[in-house]
Amino acid sequence: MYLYSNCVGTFVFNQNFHIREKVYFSKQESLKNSRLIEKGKILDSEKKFLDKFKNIENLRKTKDKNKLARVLPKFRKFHKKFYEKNIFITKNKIRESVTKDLLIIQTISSIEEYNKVINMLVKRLREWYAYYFPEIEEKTEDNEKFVDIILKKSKSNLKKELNVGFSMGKDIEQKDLDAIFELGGQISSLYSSKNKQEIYLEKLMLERCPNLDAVAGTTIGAKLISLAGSLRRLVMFPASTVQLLGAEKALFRHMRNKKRYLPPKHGVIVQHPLIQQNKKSLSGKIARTLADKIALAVKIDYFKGDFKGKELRKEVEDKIKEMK
Amino acid sequence: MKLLNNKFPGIYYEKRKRMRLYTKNLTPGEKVYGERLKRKKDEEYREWDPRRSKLAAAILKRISQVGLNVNDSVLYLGASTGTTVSHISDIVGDKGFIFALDFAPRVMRDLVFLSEKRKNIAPVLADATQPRKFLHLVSEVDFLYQDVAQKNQAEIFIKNASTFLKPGGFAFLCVKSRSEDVTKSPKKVYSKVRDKLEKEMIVADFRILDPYEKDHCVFICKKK
Ligand SMILES: C[S@@+](CC[C@H](N)C(=O)[O-])C[C@H]1O[C@@H](n2cnc3c(N)ncnc32)[C@H](O)[C@@H]1O
Repeated sequence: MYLYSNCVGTFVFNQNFHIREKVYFSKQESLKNSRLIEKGKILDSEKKFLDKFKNIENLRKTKDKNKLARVLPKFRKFHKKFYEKNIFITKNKIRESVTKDLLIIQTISSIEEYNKVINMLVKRLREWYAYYFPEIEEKTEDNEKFVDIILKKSKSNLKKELNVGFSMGKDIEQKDLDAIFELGGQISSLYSSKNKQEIYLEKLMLERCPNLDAVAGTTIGAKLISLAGSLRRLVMFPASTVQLLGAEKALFRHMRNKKRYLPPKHGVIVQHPLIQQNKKSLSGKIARTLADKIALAVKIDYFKGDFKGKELRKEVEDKIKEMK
Repeated sequence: MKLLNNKFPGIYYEKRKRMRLYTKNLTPGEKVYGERLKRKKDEEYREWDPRRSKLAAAILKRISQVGLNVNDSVLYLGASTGTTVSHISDIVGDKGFIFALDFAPRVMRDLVFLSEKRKNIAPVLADATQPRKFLHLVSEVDFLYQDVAQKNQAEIFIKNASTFLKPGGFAFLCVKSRSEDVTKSPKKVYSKVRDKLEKEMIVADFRILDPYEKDHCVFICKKK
């Protein structure tokens, strides 16, 4: 006799592989039992038959392909049941797949999109506003500050502050100005939404991976998780891969034509302040040290070890001092 | 609309300037991915875009047979959002059945919506590399289709064919050269895959999908 269970039910087969007994699962049972089957556990419905029949072999884990090949065709007539069970099981799996990592990934992507949109709109605002008062546009390089200033201060005040005697800007009509300020107001609220998301992201990161956050910084840490797909997958990468995450294009180019293209030195971690603030000639070396410590930090976070982020970052800084 | 030929049941064509493929819409009035719908007599057909579906591309590259029949049950590995799955669903019809598997929850969401409209598709969220982990969600099938665009495509294909495909059943494999090895030329990759397949199965036909799909090929195999 043989025993076999799937999402449809538990079945007893005789030596000729005819179904002798069966138990069908309800929707909820099929979900519960599928989970148990995936973990390799024995089901309650199976225990009953294992007790009842002395000489019975459970085929679920059998290595004997021939026996399996006798059983699987018997389930062709159950397609309607497979349909119902699979839809329910899959819906549950999709629900369970939503993790904090995915929230981190959506947030960092959203912040990057805010940046793109804001940059585009500020460019437009600068062009537009410059008809009215180009002198402030030219003096204020920082975008956020620029938007803030023109919304808060009038042209006459600004003229005084900057000591502009004669402005090249034209005093356009109020209704024309309103259109410009409408755009400015929108950009300003985009900035504040983006800032809120950055604060939220930091919270998420501190909850999920404080060590990574401390060593890599919130933005780069989140981008690494995003590139890997999850913290779990990031843990599995060696430091050398972490170092190159975000440089896949350059890496593939190099692999296809080693003579023509040099291998990339770093991926997203190049944006790290410790690389940006130091000499370019050191960037490859710093990237390696940083990647080493990031890989370590990620391991601590994933396996829920104690906080060591500050020390790790200090170790990177010390190593950089030795390089100089 | 004419049947393409008797080796390709359920697949129709129309010859304009170029050849256009169609399948008979199982859910009339509904599009799946923005394809064109066409009414002929009392039937509605969905145009089958060879740039979106490797099976359609292989047919237009004149593959000698598909091995897919009306009423067949199918295991589809790498179902994604169901573009090709939906046409196979048209072909096998409401007495056929498809286990549509993918391991990405994101695409599975769309596949669940599709299954709710098409009762011959069961969505399975699982990893194709581990048939033992989804054994309990699938039955034996008449036809195997694989398009997973990842490493070890031949090994995954053979493993699944040996577990789920009926003896003598046909199996269709799409190979993406770059997923196998970015550094090797597509030709070398294809011939390596072919060697592996030939050890376990009968390779009935082979097509390179250019110009529909760059650096992809397909094999149609038969289980011994
Ligand atoms: C090129 S797409 C398939 C397109 C689809 N066959 C069509 O024609 O409409 C490849 C799909 O395979 C899935 N995939 C890759 N590796 C897989 C695996 N090991 N198990 C299950 N699905 C996998 C990916 O998630 C992706 O959706």
